[in-house]
Amino acid sequence: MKKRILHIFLFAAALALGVLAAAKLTVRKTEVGTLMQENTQADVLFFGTSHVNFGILPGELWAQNGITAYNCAVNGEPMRVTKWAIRSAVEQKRPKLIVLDVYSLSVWRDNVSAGAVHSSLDWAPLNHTKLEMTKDLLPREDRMEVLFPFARYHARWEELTKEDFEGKQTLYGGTRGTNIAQYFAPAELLPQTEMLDEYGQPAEALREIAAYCRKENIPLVLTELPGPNAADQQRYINAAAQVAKEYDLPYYDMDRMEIVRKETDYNDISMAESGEMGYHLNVSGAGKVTRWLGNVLQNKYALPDHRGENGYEAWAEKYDAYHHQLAAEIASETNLYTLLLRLADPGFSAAVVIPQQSNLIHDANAMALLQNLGLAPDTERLAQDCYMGVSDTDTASVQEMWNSGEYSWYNVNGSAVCKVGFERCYQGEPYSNPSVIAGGEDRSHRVYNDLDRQPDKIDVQIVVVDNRSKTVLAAPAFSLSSTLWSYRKS
Amino acid sequence: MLFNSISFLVFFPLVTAVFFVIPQKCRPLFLLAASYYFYACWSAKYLLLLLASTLVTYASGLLISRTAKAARKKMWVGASFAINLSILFVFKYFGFAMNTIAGIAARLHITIQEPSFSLLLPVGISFYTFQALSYTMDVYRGDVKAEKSFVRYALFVSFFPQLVAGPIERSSHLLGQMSEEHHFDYQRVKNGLMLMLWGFFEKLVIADRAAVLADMVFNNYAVYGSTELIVAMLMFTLQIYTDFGGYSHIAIGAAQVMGFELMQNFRQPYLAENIADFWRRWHISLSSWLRDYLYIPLGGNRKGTLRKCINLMIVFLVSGLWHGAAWHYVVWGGVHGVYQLAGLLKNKLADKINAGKPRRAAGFGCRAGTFVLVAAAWVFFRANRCGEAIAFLKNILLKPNAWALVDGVTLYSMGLDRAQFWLLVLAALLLFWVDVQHEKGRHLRKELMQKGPLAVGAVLWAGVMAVLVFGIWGPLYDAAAFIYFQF
Repeated sequence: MKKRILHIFLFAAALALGVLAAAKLTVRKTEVGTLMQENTQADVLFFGTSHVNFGILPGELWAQNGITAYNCAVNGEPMRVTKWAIRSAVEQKRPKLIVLDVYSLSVWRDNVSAGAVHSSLDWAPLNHTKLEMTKDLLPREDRMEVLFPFARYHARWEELTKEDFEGKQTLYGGTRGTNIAQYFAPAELLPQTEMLDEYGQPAEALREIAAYCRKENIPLVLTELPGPNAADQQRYINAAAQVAKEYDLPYYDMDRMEIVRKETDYNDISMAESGEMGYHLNVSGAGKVTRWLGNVLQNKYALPDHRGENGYEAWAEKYDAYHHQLAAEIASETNLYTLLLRLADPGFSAAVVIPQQSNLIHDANAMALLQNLGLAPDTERLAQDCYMGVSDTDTASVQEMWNSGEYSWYNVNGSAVCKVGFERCYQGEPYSNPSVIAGGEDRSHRVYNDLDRQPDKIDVQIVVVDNRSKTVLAAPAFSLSSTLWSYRKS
Repeated sequence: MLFNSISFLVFFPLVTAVFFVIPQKCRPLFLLAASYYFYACWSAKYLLLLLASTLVTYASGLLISRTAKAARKKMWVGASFAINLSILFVFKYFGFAMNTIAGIAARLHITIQEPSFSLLLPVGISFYTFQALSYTMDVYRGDVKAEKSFVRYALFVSFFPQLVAGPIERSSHLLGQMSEEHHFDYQRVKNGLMLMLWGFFEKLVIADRAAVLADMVFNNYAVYGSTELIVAMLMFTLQIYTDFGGYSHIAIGAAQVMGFELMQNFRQPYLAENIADFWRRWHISLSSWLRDYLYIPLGGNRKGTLRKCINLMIVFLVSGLWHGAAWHYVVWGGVHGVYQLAGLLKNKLADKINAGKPRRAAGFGCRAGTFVLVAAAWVFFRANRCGEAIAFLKNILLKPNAWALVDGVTLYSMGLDRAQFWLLVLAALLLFWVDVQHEKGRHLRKELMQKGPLAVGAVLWAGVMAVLVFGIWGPLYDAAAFIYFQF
């Protein structure tokens, strides 16, 4: 009898282990799940929808302010689900500050679907909070699959990937948009007092979040990341202003601030048949928003700068990996617009060489992206002169040179390791070639030189310098034929 | 509730645990309540029909046993059959009858106004009606004594493992078990659970997966070529066997856990040597019911060859009609009737030609041929109309596209991708292997249990994990009801 009980127990244990292992393997891995399982603690957690996913770059918060942060946003997350995402995250991470974007007040206002809960909270452990969550959000028939996601995901056996075994790789969460969208003019900006449904389910969920954060003594900051919103969307979002007033919360409505540039900082903009606007920031816009918010939050909440601190080596390594990733992306970038967008990251400087009579001046997007880097070449002078503009983000300065000007060199990053300028080819000759010298007299990164008599006309060449390693990452050249930019590796 | 549902996975262990804990004398009432609850989960109001059928046949048994007069006995039998078959007719066949009459009248240019009401078919009505009627006949024939206890009799009719899709039990086999004491037996429970696990494997891994392909092709057969149609036909052949066989195994296993023995309902039917043999292996409980309560009373084979043939056709047409209130089911039954007659004729000719010599044992060719005939007949069962079935079979001949088997695309564009398709093939091969072993006389579960707890544990663990991982269940799928529930 005892033997049988032992056999039954061992079988049950083996079965339980098998099911747990299968459940862990097949459940869809998310970036937020990976972050929540990390050993590191973050001071700031960002929540919201894809607006935050694309719009906040925690790596920049570390680089600029030494703030530790995670981007816990989930695309399409309704406010009622965010309420529980915050509660579950606080149980895991206990942040010093929560930043919540309120865009979801304007969309996903219907009943929450099991799918939305899966997207946001599959990572959450099975505990009392998850039980309460299913009762709050879902009808009875959908609760089991959320409490036991294996019921839904067991069918994934044929689509398992490396990610399912190793976890979804992410450093901070979030997505980097690298497109540039044509801007839609939004509806006129309505006053914040004009509201719709300030007592509806999403607004009530926002109030519950505010009350929860107050109870847990975690400061809550509300944001509305910049973007064009239709009139009714604005009216729903404006309910956040009322909630902020009720709970004495700071509310940064960036639709009313000039933080981003509409010509260059949006990844995508669309308008649904219903008139609703959809949009996301790209890396340039996200960088601007993140840096602005980082300064505001650090000043207001005295968030510590953890750079160089003991116990934060993991964050320093994280940023190294992040920077390394960005460098690799830039080094392999073959699209002119995307390259110029990526160069908005303050970790990289760029020397942009535009030969005389370049076709670049006819491309409004490219010119706008150059302006985004602080460069504004005189298009009339480009008819006869060659231009070199240096956006030195390390020293936060911009240098502009012309080949018909004084002979000069500029040291990028303030070091002599990488200098750019115009070099006289023949003594006494009024002939100048733009040149880059890296590593002393090494001429391996030779920039366009019309003495080379390139068979194809180059319209722009960009030399990218890594501010941290002070090396030249790449020096691609681009030609424009018709409306298409083609890439030539340097 | 469906066997493949969370509710049943909670219901069954709970009921079993309470069953073994409560005193023996309370068990029939408890099981009866549990069985009525099980049925009420489908539809509480149709529980009244089940009760009505139970009351009528219970009363008929008592009345028959209390009278000595043959004529009166026949009267009570007649009344029991009339009432039960009337209920069955109203709920299952009334609409069909009205449609048929209206159709015939339309051809004769007579307009008939069809009644506008429609009734939902009560789950399992064909099963429990036949089971209850068999009791009436058994009492009439003196095969069993009339059951005095209403609780035990009602439990016989509504015993939940076999209530909604069989096996259709006989009172001589099951009724007596309701009065017996049932004790917990570890080996028997283990055996029963293993059988249930096999049933779940058949249903969730094989049947519901095969259904995806079969449904896709059958519902849109006109766009497919011969290869896809043949594959779909084979898939449905697989689906109906593992769906119905799986249910039966779960039912028999569940009953076994509680100490009840139900009759075997399938015996490797696709290894049959001929059509007659097929019907000795397929849905054994129904075919034996029809043999004992229709074929034999009609005269069986006692009144000459012609009468035998007529009786066989009647039985198979009734079998077809039992399966569904639609002409394609009747035609399916008729096709099998024709197969039987052809088989009879073939045997008679063979006997004449080989006068005196013993018949040769059936080889692989006979089994394969029988399988093909059965598979082709299933097309009528699955199709929505006779015309569709005929067109389906025609297209197999008229739209050859053998290259589709090897083009690497066609096979995986009928609802199952490559991984799913080959998983199904693998599972079907396992099923085939199991059936072949059983055909050879091996008792696989017994052999496994003799290998020791580690082997048993490993196989059970693998079986449960296979069902959990590869089974078609969960919110991504509609819980596919067992095919035979519609009967």
